[in-house]
Amino acid sequence: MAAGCDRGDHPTQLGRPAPNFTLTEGSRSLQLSSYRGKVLVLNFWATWCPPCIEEIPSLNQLQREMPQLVVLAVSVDEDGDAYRQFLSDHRIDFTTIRDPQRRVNAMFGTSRFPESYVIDRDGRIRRKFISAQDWTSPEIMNYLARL
Amino acid sequence: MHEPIAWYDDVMTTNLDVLYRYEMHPTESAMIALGKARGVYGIRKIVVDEQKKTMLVEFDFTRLNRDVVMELLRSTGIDIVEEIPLAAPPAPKETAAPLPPK
Repeated sequence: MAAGCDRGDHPTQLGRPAPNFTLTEGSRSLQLSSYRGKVLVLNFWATWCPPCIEEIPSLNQLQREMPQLVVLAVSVDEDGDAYRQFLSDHRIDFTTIRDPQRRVNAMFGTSRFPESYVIDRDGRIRRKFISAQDWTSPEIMNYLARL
Repeated sequence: MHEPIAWYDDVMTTNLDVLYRYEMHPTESAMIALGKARGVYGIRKIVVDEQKKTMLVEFDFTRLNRDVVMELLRSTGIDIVEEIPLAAPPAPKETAAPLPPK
């Protein structure tokens, strides 16, 4: 599991407002702007992506240990059956929604998975994490607690 | 089993090439899934050689490991049989032929 973050060039999105989006899945609709006032970890993932699966337990633990924070995972799975089967087979303690058209990740400039963004209470992107992380590492948890 | 060769480019990346052999030719859906697999962080390149029934995967070993790559390939539905060593085995040492009698 990659321990580092913000690797490579300084992401241009940092400090900018996160692009707002609305996703609908069945009768459920979710809008990013509705989380304003909360620190949000926005994670892009897919069931066919082993590193994405690898970081789910630590995302679960992060959500449990920091309930004031929102972990929102957007799956790019095209196969709805595989996605639903995965959710029924695995315990997921955070919010996840499917975006098979890959519209939202494109808005953030994400084309590889997993990739995550930390969005502050004002809706600004504060940090970008590429590849799988240990979300319960002291470095990340301390950082999130300070936001 | 010999360790595969690690190939580095001139900026000293952390890429590793691993060659896999598959048995059955990938189905169309498996090839589509393989296309998606290229979107996983750490996967740099996947080259399928249909004649040799091999698949060369270049990945960043600081982000992924062999087990994860194998899992990723198998999840596409491709019938991976084995990993093929990329490094040639060392040639056996030649024993000096006895000198002819003078």
